[in-house]
Amino acid sequence: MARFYLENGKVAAFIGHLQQQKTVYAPHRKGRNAFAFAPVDRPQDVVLDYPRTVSSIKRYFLPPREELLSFNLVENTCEQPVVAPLDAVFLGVHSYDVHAVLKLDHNFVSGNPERNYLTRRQGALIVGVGFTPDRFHFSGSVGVPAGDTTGCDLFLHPCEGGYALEALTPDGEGLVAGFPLPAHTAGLPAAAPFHQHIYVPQAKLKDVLAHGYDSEVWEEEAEKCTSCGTCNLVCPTCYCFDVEDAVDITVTRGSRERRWDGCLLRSFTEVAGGEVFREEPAARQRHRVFRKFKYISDETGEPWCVGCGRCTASCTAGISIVSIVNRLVNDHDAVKA
Amino acid sequence: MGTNLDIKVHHLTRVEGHGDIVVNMRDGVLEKARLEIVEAPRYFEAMLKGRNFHEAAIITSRICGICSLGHQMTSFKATEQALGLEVSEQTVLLRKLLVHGATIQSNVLHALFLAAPDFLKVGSVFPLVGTHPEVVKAALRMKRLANDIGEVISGRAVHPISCVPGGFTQLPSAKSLAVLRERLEQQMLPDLVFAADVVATLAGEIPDFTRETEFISLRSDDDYALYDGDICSTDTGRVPDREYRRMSNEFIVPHSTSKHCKVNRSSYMVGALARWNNNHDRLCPEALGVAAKLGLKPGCHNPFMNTVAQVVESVHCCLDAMAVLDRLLAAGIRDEVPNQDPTRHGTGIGATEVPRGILYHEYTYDRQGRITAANCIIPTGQNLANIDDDMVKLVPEVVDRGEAAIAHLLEMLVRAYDPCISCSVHMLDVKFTR
Amino acid sequence: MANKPRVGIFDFTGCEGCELNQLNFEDQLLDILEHVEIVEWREAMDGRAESLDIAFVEGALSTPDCIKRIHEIRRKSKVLVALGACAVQGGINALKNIRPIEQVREEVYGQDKYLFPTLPALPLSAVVKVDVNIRGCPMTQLEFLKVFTALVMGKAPVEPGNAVCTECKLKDNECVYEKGMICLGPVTRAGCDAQCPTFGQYCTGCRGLVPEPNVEAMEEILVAHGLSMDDARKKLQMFNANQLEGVS
Repeated sequence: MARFYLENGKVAAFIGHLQQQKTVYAPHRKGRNAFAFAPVDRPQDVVLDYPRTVSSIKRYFLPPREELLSFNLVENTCEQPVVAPLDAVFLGVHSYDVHAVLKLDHNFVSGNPERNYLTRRQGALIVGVGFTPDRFHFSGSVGVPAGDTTGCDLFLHPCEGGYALEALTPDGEGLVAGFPLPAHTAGLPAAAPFHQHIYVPQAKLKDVLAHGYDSEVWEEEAEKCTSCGTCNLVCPTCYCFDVEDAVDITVTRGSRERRWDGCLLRSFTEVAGGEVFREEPAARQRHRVFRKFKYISDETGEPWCVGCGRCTASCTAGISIVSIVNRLVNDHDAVKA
Repeated sequence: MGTNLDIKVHHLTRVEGHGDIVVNMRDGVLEKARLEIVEAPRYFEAMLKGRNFHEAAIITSRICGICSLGHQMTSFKATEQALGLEVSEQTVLLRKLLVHGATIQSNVLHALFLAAPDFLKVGSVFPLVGTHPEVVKAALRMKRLANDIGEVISGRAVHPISCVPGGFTQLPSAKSLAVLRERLEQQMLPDLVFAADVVATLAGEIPDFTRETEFISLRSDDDYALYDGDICSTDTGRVPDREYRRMSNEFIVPHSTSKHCKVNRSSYMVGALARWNNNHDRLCPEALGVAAKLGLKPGCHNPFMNTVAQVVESVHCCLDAMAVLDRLLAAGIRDEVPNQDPTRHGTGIGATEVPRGILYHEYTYDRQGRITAANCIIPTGQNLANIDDDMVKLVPEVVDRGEAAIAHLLEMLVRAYDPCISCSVHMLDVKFTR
Repeated sequence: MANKPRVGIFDFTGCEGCELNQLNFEDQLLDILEHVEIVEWREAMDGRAESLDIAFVEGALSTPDCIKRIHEIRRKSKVLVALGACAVQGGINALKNIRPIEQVREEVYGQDKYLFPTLPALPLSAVVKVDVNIRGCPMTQLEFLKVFTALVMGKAPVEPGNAVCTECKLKDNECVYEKGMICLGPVTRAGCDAQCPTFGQYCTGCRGLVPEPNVEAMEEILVAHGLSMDDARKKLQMFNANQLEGVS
């Protein structure tokens, strides 16, 4: 399909053009040094060159807190809130976050289809953007180069003076229609290199992790870990949740709320009667890594980690998923050698 | 044969903290009439010693939940003076707004929830929910909005979050400030006028009692001094804040875990009535109108009128908060980072008018910005001697009314001062030796 | 409701800010009064009660008189709720426990120290059985209402056990460490909706440590972000001096 040249000076106007068609969500500055997706108010506030957002666009399809139903204790009735397709454009999404959404699609379609998520996902268009890997990104090692356009309707390849805007779907072409842009004829600049790598491909990790089940690395990393759960909650492919009923002060009405949860949290493994089924922080640490590289991956043949680096960049204790996996690779190879 | 009285009110109600009223009269001779402070001491000096300057206000705000904002502001001023931290005009304006919010919330709480039940002859605000619902609802609305000022600007009205030495960790949006401005004008002002009308109907219930005393508060040239100013006495005039020790003169009495204070007489009064007596000429016309309606005149020596003075100054706080908001909104909110780079070390003093009166904090910091010495002088502690002196004059005047009535009148007297007993037993006056 | 639960509110050593927060329920106070009868509350009303369904108790225990009174309250109450950091953990008062008590008393009162009996500042649970904790300095109204509703319905309230970090992440907050500051969020109990980080401040740990906290790991994190080990301990002690010493 077509490729246009969008010079830097026209980016704000292009965002304005998108705003006329749909709600636009894009990265903004948040706090002093962070970035987060937010609905666009003023196009000039959008930041397209950013390392990573605090969390991914997952939060718009699977909200951090969500009312599943409301009930009335006096009338003994309940009703589910109406969930509508988002009908929005997600602008400036990095390739790994698009892959993460595709993985969540897989998780939420399989088994019992997740109605709320799948409904919201309908009509959401994605405009990807390339990025320069920093010291935490490693998506190249899990099959997601910075310029990968899978799952996008449009993609912004950074180039001299602006972006090469690539239309990938009819929906994407529709978004550009009516905004005159010259064709982009030059080649695309070579992708910037990654600074973090997992040493081996997923095909080999299957054996590596099976071998590493009883590794000392879990205990060693757990000693540094406060079990705060940040690694789970910033992960774009984690989807675990907790559900709690709350009754309001009138004691007649209430609601059932779903909110994000994570397997590093002790309370996550606590069940009725007070039993904690994964008591040791080391076991929880192992479970997290196995969820990303083994349990789902053994079925799908793909890593369930997209290499965004959020868990490592956000860990105050400096625990690195890449270091853990590479350590297991080395241990495995040392034994097999 | 003269009268015998034996009054002991254990753990006085509807005040913040724990105090007992004790009166003994034998054959018409008053042996004892005083407020005994029995609040458990907190040992704040043990908490402050060696602490970093970032933490001073976090700790001292916990001296008292009701006065937490006042302690924070005073603490920041002392720390900033000691460490040479300049703050921006925007920071000062936002702090003044916070002070207005805290003053209104505290004054409304006291006048309508804690003191009004006395005039309406009930034991608490709760019966008023049924008998005077419109008063309770107006009071709740005013408290809500006053607290919202704290929440919008500092995250929380009790133990505020985002104000720190040198500025604010996060700034409110212009939009949220504009909403506050609108609500102050549309809701707060009419509610305050309504509250003043309610108080006017109760004015006949305010006891007629006068004892000449000294009044001390801040005073400044350009506004009704709350956030900043010189120390001013009705007896001797203005002195700079560095003379605060001479202007408070703490001393220990055996019947109180809180120290007492005196300056030019055996006692002095601080609080809304002191501010009124010193600064009525700095109030806006609307507040002066309310004062006239409520019969509050300059040079008022009736401590029961303190509650009335609180209502009057709340009107001023509301209007001045609107003016401060106009200035902030006209200038636009600048995204500033708190100035936390000390330029010197040593001792600094903060003096601020908090709802109950003038509050002083003094800290000494070492080169690393750690506290080596600290002193706080609390309004309620300054009022204790004055309360005792009032009791000694008041009891003989009403001796014929019987113990129960006298006890009730004395409770009303103490409550009129809106005492904050948690604050008064901070016991924070220690030089640390290393 | 025919028989409204009889409620009492009490205070010990503390700032009474949690009680003040109850008086600050401007929007819900009238609803609350629909469901319960407040029969004893010194800060707001006259009168004493003989027996109570629910006692909300604020403040730490720090004098012999406190110990006597908390036993009395426990005896006359069916459910005892510890209200705020002082009652739950001893709170900021427990900072005095770090140094020898005699030394502290002498510093403050000099030769008059024997006039004022004092004990280490203790959480209520060190002396009597506590049924429910409402944490925080001050307690949050949101959590109070949740616990209150559960008690009125006769249900056991759920006490949050996750770290404050979880609430920051749900709100998409910038990590406090990202700003170049330190924060106790990783080991502090959630339930405040990460109020302080949301307003640009660091978490001071006022809600107490999470269950089974990895304190050594937290100290290492603080040291890795520029604090001395001594300062790291001081930061952790601010609201949790008792818990770090094993008092609870």
